[in-house]
Parts: sequence; C-alpha cells; structure tokens
Amino acid sequence: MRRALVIALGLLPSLAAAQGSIGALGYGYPTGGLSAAAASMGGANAEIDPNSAINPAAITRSNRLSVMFRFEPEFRSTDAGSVRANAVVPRFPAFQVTGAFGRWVGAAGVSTMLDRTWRNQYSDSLVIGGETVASNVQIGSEGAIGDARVAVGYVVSPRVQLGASMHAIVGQNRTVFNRTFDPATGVSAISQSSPFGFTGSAVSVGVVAEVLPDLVVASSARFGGDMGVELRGTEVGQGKVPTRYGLGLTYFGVRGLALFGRVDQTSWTDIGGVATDSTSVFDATDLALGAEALGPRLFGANTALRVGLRQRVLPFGLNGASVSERGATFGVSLPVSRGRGQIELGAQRMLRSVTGVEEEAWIVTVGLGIRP
Amino acid sequence: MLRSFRWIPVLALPLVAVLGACAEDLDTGETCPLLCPGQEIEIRDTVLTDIVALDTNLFGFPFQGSEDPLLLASSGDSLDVRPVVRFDTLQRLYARTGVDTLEPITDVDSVFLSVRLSAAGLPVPADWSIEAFDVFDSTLVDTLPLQLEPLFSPARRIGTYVGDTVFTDSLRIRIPIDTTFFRSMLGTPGHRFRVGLRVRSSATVMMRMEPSDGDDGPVLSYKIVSSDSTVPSPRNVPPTSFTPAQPSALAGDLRDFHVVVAAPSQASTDRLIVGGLPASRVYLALNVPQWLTDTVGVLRAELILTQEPSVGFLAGDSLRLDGHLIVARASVTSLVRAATLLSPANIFLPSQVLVPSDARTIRLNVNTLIRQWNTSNPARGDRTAILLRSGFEGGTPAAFRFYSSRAADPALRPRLRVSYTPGTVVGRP
Repeated sequence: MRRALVIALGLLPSLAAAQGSIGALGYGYPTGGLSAAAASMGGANAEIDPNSAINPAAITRSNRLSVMFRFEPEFRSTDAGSVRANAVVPRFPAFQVTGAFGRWVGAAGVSTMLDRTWRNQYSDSLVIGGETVASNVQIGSEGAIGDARVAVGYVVSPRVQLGASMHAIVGQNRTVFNRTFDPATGVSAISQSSPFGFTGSAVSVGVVAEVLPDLVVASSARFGGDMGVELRGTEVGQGKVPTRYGLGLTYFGVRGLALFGRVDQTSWTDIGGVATDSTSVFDATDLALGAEALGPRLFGANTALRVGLRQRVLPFGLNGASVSERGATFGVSLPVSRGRGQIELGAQRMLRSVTGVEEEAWIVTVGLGIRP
Repeated sequence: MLRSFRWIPVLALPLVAVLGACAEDLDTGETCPLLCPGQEIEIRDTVLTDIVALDTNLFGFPFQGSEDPLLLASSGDSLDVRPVVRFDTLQRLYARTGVDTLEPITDVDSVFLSVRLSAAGLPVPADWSIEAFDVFDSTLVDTLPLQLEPLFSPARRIGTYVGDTVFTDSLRIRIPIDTTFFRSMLGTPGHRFRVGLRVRSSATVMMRMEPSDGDDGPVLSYKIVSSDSTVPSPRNVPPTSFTPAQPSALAGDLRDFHVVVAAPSQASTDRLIVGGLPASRVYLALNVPQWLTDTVGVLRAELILTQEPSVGFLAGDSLRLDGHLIVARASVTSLVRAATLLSPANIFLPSQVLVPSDARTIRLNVNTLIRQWNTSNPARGDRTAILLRSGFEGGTPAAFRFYSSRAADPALRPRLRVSYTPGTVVGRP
C-alpha cells in the first residue's frame, strides 16, 4: 500500500528539553528541599536544619510545634549565542509542620524535588512533503515532582540525635504542545496534552552528633525505592528514587557565629527509565559553605544574618553535557513576637553554564515560620 | 499573644506586595530552537495507493423537482433541456358583486406566465425565443423525457416570447399565453394547466430559470372578463402540483422541474464524472488504514485525483467542485440514498474552483476528514466515504472527469498522500 516512504527528520523543538532554560532541563530544577534559612546559606546547614527536608535527625532541633513554608520566585536570564531570554518563575517549594513529644520529634511536610515549570512560544519552519512550511509553536510544562515526607527524630542525648523518615514521591507534569500553521498551507495543527504522573517511595536515616565541643557532625542518607511515571493510567517508565548521601559540619566555636559546610551526593541516574534514553542525566555533587551571625535585636529578639556559597551539578544536562551551577547567597531572619514567629528573607545569585550557554538567576526566598 | 503577632502581617504585607508584582513570565521562546534541541520528531511523507475501496458514478442528480436553478438550453440535437411548470390549482369560478352563486369563468384575457431568467456566464445569442406548450396529458407521465417530448408539438404551442435584447445578467419576462386555449382549459374540468418551456435560437443558447422554491419563481396571471368590472382577477398565482399522489411531498417538489431531452453522454467505465446533465456524483469509499486515523498525528492528507480534460459545453469555464463527507450509516445500503446524506460542502473537504477542460492533478485536503473518522467512526462500523459533486449541479452541462481506480495507468488512479508524525507522546524527557 505504501508506494513511497520518505522520512524527513524535522528538527521539531523538543517538548522534553525545549524549556529554553538550562536550569530546568529534563524533569526540572532541583530546589533541594531546603528551608528559606538553609537556602540563604546555599544549603550549607541543611544537615542540621530542622526545617529542611534533608536529615530526619535534624528535626530534633525544633523542640516545639512549628509551621514553616517558603515562597521562592526565580528571575532568570538565559544567554544562548546572540539571543537572550528572560523569565520569572514562581515556586512554592516547601512546607513543613514539626512537633515535639518529649524526646521524640515528628515532622511532616512537602517539598519540591524537581520543579518543571516553563513555557515557550516561537516560530520556526518544517519540511512537510518536500515543502518548507512556517509554523508557530506553543509548548509548556507545569507541575513538579514532589517529596512528601514523614519524619521522626529521637534525642538520644544532648549530643546525639537520630532520625528516620519515609518519603512518598508524588506529583504531576502537565505538558502541552501546540503547533499551528498558516491555514493556506493545508497543514493541520498538532496539539497534545500529556499529564505525566509520578509515584515512588524512599526512606531516609540520619544522625546529628556533637563529636567535639562546638563541632557538630550531621549525616543522612536517602535510599530510593521504586519510582514510576505514568500517562493516563499507563506506566511509561520505571526507575528508582535517587539515592542521596550527605555530610555536614557545623562549628559554633566563635561567639555569635556559626560556620557550616556540607557535601551532598545524589545519584540522579537512579531514575533510569523514568527518563528517556535521549535525556542526559548526571549524578550530582553539591558543595556548600555558609555562615550565620547574630544580627541586631529587633522586636525584642535577635535577628540572624546569613551568607553562603554553593556549587553543584544539576541533574539534567544538554546534549550530553552537564550543567554546572554556582552561586552566592545571603539572607536575614527577622524574628517577630519574641521568637514565636520569624520571617526569612534571602536571595541567591546563581550562575549556570553549559557549552555555549550562560544563565544568570536571582532567586528570592521568602519563608515564614510560626511557633505558636 | 495575639497582640505581639501583629508585626507579622506588618512585615509580610510589603513583601507580598513586592513579590506579587513579579507577574509570572515563563516564556523563554527567544532561545528556541537554539536551546531546544534533543528530541527529533519524524515527519513521514507517504503516498498510499490502492486507497479506493469503491469509486463509482451516480447519475440522475439533482432529483427532479429539486433543481435550483432550472435550465433552459438548446444546441441543435446535442443539448435540449426544457422546464415544466405546473399550475394544478387555478381559479375556475368567480362571483359577481351582489350575486351569491359562483359562476364559471368563461372569458379571460391578458394571460401571462412570468419567469425570472439568468444568463450569467451562459451563452445567450441575440436571437432567441421561448415557446410555451401545453404539456398536460392525464394518460402520460410528464416527468419522463420520452413521454414528455412529443407534447412539445406545434399543435400544443400556447405562447411565444421573442427575446429582443441580449442580456447578460437577469431578466423577468412575461410569456403571453393563448387566451383561447386558456379559456378552453378553464372550462374543461380535469384539464390542468402545465406549461412546458423550450428555448430556441440559431445558435447554442442556455438560460437559467428561478424555480418556485426561490424568491422570484414563476407565477401566472390572468384577467377575468365579466360584465362586472369589479371582479378581481388572479394575479401572480404560484405553481402547484397534485401528482404524484404518493409520496405527497414529491408532488410539491414537482411544481416545477426540468427534463433533459438531450445532453452529451458522460457515461464512462473508468472515469469519474462530476457534473453534466443529468448530473453525476462520484461516490468514493476509501480504504483508510487504521493506523492513519488512530495512531499518528496527521499534518496534511491530500486525496490526489488526476483530471482528464473535458470537452463540450462550458468546459472551459470555471466550476466549483464540492466535496462532502457521507454521513449515511452502514445500514443505508443504497449508494444513491447514501449520496444524499451528506455533510455540508466545504466543511470536511474544501471546495475548489477548477476548469473542466484542464488536465491537472487535483489535491483535495482531507485533514479534517481523517480526524473526523478518528473521532466519529473509530471502529469503522460506518463507511469512510466521500462524495464529489458539481457546485452548479444540474445548472450546467459542464462536467469534471477524473481517472478512476480502474484506469489502466496506476499512476493516474486516485491516491492519498499523507504527511504525519508517528504517534510519539511528547513531553517526557
């Protein structure tokens, strides 16, 4: 029946990778489960930060009921050759409730593991039936892969705390693809809407220990279980939730100052078949240094000033090359009601690069914590 | 405690205001496609031959009584089309002022049949005339050409209109009807007034006539001659028809119709004919593979027909080719019946203006059709068929000719060219 078959490979911009930003390649940008305070120090204190969804043992440092959430818009500029694209991406990456019961502390919350929110509109052309046809493309994605965590910590002694948590990996990416043509060409528009859903599980364990006076060592690990991606009830990919190991050091030896260091390794390649073979996935090392100093008293309580440096590799690359991200962070914690509440303000100046492409981003972090 | 919390909103409000002003702006299309590589989507260009399950000509359209417009045509022995207008209901009695009883009409004058003619795009020479004939015979079926034609005899001629002007647009004419005949007809119970019209000229002549379904259809007027000059006379009497008795709706359709006495034959075994007199429609059932409608994204699908030049009347003039989706369910087994259950033109198949005398490759875009079959007929329980018809069906002798699936040269047969993307789900990195 097919008398002739001519295959024309048109370079249709990829919906999968066509996010126009190197910070949100693949399944998106890893916000890292950090609290607003930790983000202000590049994540350097994440291993002992009770409001970061990293080390379950760290929740023991929040010894009473508290509620924390975080809003984090990103102002981004991407330079690719001679073109520049600016974008503003709003994110609500974390929410957590913590409560203490004697030596036991529990926490539950949701954080964003990978945020995949982007949209592109542009014009290009395709070769259809030997004829070059102009078209307009509208593509986009909304949603995220989230990490719903329930954690429990136990205060073994004032110097040693342990913790464990269970993670449910949930979320959805709602992708849309529309390509339209001039009606005079006789080419029909293509439209596709694909809601990808994610399921997965993992467990974490952690420890926080003051191994020397004023020196705290914290470490945690997340062991990934099965992870799947489905489309309209049909599983289209399988893999594992990425395993993660982290180590943090904290030094309180200087009065009014805390110094933090952290190294974290995430095996993003564990996601395996959740991503297609054409996606460049990289295991990522995350390095961070940070400091927190007592600031001036405000409303009857101390403020905190924070700075940090961060360098890491993002999980998804471009054309086989990995994307590196480095940046400086700073922030301030404003207590209210004599410590019953706090407003965390911070900013992250991040620079990302991959072959031929540079991206600058200001990520503004606003966190609100309440301890009734 | 509540009092000390008042600072939270005091501080949060300006922050929310500042950040809220940062409206979402996700569009980074400027960096595409430079920064948007990775996933290549195939565009396949395929020509499907043997796509035709059944292609055939269906003659006899439009059905008698549904012509719009009616045609008057004459060209020697090769073209002869004659309209018939029925006035089966006429006023045959009247009442004088002050008299309670009805009296038969015994005398009339000023009997006229008024018709609207159109000559747009048709050959109308300077000398032409229209003759009116009494074509009523209760023993004959006047819709059949063989039975009707003998009634157009000199003995039955009841009026003549001599065209004294060349017109190119439209013209309403009044054809005078012989009053002696009309008086006699009124006085003869059972004699219905049915008028056959025939155009004559020394050259080829064609005119279109507005049917009674239109706004300016034929009407009859006559004046009652009576001692009472105040008796109103029938004016602008519209056509009526009482036959056939069953189905009754058909009688209404046959208030006026035309009869093709002679026309160039369009019959062909291996050509698809669209148009002509009586007009032919092309029934084209397609063998659409399931994968095409169900598993791929069709960018462009074109049904390719190869046109054979037509010769004959008006073959060099432009004519619209309409395509329709046949919406008849599979239970409708009659092709002729199916050929009347159609979607509107220019919905699923775009209409095209073509010249019958051309020899071209015609590409009918069937994108919408393919998608329609995917959504409305996924199990292929109903036919996947289209119908081609002339945009001036019955109003012109011109016809398109296309090579059918039985053409000797396979390259000339209908085929389907499709550009599509395989059914790849996009969006998963």
